[in-house]
Amino acid sequence: MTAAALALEHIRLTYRGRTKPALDDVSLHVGVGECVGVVGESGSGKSSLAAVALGLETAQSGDVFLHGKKLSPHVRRRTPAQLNALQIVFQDPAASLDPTWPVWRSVTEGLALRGAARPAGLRATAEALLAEMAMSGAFLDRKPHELSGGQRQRVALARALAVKPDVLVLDEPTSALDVSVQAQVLDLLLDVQERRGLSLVMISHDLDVVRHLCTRIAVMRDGRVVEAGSADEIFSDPKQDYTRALVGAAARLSIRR
Amino acid sequence: MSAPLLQVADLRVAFRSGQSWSHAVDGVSFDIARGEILGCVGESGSGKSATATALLGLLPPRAARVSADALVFDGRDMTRLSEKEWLSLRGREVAFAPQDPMSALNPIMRIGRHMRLIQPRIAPREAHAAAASALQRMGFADPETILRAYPFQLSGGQRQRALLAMALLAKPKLLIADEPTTALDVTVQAQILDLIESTARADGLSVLFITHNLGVAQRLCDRLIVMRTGTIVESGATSEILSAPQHAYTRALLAALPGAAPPRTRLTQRAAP
Repeated sequence: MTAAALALEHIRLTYRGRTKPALDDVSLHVGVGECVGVVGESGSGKSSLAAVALGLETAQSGDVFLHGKKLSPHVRRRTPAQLNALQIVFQDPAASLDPTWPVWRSVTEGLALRGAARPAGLRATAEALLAEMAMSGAFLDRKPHELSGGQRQRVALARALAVKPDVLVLDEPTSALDVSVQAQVLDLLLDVQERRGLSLVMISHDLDVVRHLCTRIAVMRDGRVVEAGSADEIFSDPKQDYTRALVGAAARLSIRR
Repeated sequence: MSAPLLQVADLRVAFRSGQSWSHAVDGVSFDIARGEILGCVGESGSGKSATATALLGLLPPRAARVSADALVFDGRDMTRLSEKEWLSLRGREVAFAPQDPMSALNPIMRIGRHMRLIQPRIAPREAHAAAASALQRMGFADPETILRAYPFQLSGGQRQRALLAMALLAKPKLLIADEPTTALDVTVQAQILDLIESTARADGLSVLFITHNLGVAQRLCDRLIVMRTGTIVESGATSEILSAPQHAYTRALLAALPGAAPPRTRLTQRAAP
């Protein structure tokens, strides 16, 4: 069996000053080129799981593997190649882009930090990445406040893709967007994933979005994965009461045609 | 047939931007019947929140200009109300449920005191009982605990339900709800929509429900108006609009919903239904 692109094994995380664990023996496997959804409500631990995968939070126990190689729990102890290979896009692009930087500089920050390209080449690289995001070169010198929410999120995506990751973690990437803009971003994600053969972890409270993108889904509640399976199983034949309640509530809020 | 509770004809709202005025709402007309739930669907910049704010008389007079051929609530011309008359209308006959309950609550005031302030002319004991029963109707099994709580001690869903209890305390005729469930988890959203719907059906409450979520609108609303850049592009019975949308924008909105499309299809290229 080939190693998973990303594997989290038996992660336990309790935040300082808390007694209740945020993650309580959570495991998640993401195959190469696979899109895995992590769904759950606020406080279920889905964003904590992303933080542990990225090394932004250090779990008390459990391991993170990238293509079978164990990663340091601390982001600062990971190698540049490991950092490049695993990237994240957050919900709020306004908070994750430096407000004083032009778009081209944000997009190529990772490349510049790792000395991967000469300064003169950075603008051209940024322009090519923006083109992949269906944005013209006219945006290169804009600041984040001059962009719409959807444009900012596409810039955040271009920045994550600049370092050619294998695995992309998306933490509620479209939750703050209008539906028509969300549709553009979801289309882009599908195009990029297929073109680059990316593995995706899609974290969302929006079951429709997760079902649209993902073939496998893990349902989280109170720091545990209560159920995991194929998207079809989770939606049409949920085994756990909580999954049934969640899927049922989401179905009532979702459009019926 | 009785006259509609709210009649809006050619409503315009303009905001000052430098020397000129820009129209956020540009000639909007609709009615809301008694006991009817009208959905106002649109994306950012459609003018849906500016419409709501105008109907609540909450736009700052120097920065915003409101005009309408008719703005009639329960037989009264809203364009001619004094601030004093607005005060007797707003929060009593026309109630408001905002998207973010935290910013609508005073962070250093207990829920009970918020609810006390809404009923100034009622004896404390009666006011307390009314507040407790309003909370109970919003699904709180132990209203006394909620009355003693500060806003930060409640979850997002509890805050929104407490705010709805406050909004409905004075038995308003019209509830204007501006994306009241957007920030909440799906199970809590479903619960709050049920509460709004059951109150509307039981008490004959009219609701203007503003949302960007067509699924929520389908679930709750009798009729819809679809707004874009300050105008209504389409209006009609919810089932008709959603099964046979006439306007290209409505079709595009429906096509953009991932829940209605086969997995992994490109949503922006979907043939309009």
